[in-house]
Amino acid sequence: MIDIPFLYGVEETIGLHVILSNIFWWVSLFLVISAYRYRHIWNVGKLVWAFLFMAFLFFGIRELGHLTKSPIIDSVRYIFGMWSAIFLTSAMIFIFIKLYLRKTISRAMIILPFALMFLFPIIFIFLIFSGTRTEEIQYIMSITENIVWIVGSSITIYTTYLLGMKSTGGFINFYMFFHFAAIFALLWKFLGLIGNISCPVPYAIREILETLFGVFAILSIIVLRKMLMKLSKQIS
Amino acid sequence: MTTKAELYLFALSELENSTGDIISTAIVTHDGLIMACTRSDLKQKEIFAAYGAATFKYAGDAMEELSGENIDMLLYESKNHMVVTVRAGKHALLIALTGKNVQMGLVIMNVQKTAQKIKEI
Repeated sequence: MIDIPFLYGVEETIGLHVILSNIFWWVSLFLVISAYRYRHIWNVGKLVWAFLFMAFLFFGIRELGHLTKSPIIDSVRYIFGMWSAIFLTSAMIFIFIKLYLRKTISRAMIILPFALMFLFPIIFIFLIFSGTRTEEIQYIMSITENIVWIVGSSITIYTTYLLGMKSTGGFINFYMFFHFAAIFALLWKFLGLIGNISCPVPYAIREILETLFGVFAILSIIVLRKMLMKLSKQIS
Repeated sequence: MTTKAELYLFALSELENSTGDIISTAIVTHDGLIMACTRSDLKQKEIFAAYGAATFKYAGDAMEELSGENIDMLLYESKNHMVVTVRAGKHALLIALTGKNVQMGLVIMNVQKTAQKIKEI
């Protein structure tokens, strides 16, 4: 019997994109840690650095979740994806507030990402204890992750565009790559959402978009690290 | 051992002492990163560097379009302040924010002298 969904690549598969994605995000995390050594050169605050670290760490963990097919693990994976979206978006919002709007980040603004972070595991635990089937929980978490990423990447597209317009030198590339990453994340998750709720989109297309998202994310961190390293050598 | 950053800061202090009514000075990269700055407020430092470098870049683009030459110095003023930006070597810019009660000629001369010193560091 011919497996039609598999032929059209509608079903999620563990393939090259999972390996590539894991490499990109874990190497990116290593680069963020490495760039953090030069934080005194780019004084955007420790919180921005922490948020960048958490965004890459959580996405790396999310990608590791691809290696299993359990619905519960998948649901947990989506929670890590949501956390990654929250912290990546927040990091860019904070840089935007500091450098573009020239305002101080309020306590409420700092608490908000953490409040959102705890919201989704609470929903997850509530669903488990309410007796919802694991497949349904996975479906709800998948849709929620799609929505969180769509909202987050839309905000990131806006903030990185404005930051890029006011930047100079290597920072233009840094924001531009983040901008592209956010565009691919938006497309990836938008296709995921319409695939979930109505018409399935070939998974191969989403795989390519997800991989490109990782490529641009790692490129932005490489640019940032290179700039900071170069300056560190110049002033030491 | 003295680092380059300390030498840069020393050059900036000398500039501020030799010229009255200089509010703050900074050496920044073309990316808008700080190499040395006399401002104490960390947030203001970043903004000073980022905007200083960005302004010089846009003015440089305009200069290239209009005259076909590279920009060497940028000077702009408001009601109470004046900003002078000059190249300080291949990778750096020297930015000086002054008050209005300053002798423009003296500021420009001292800023250029300091830029030359920075080049040699």
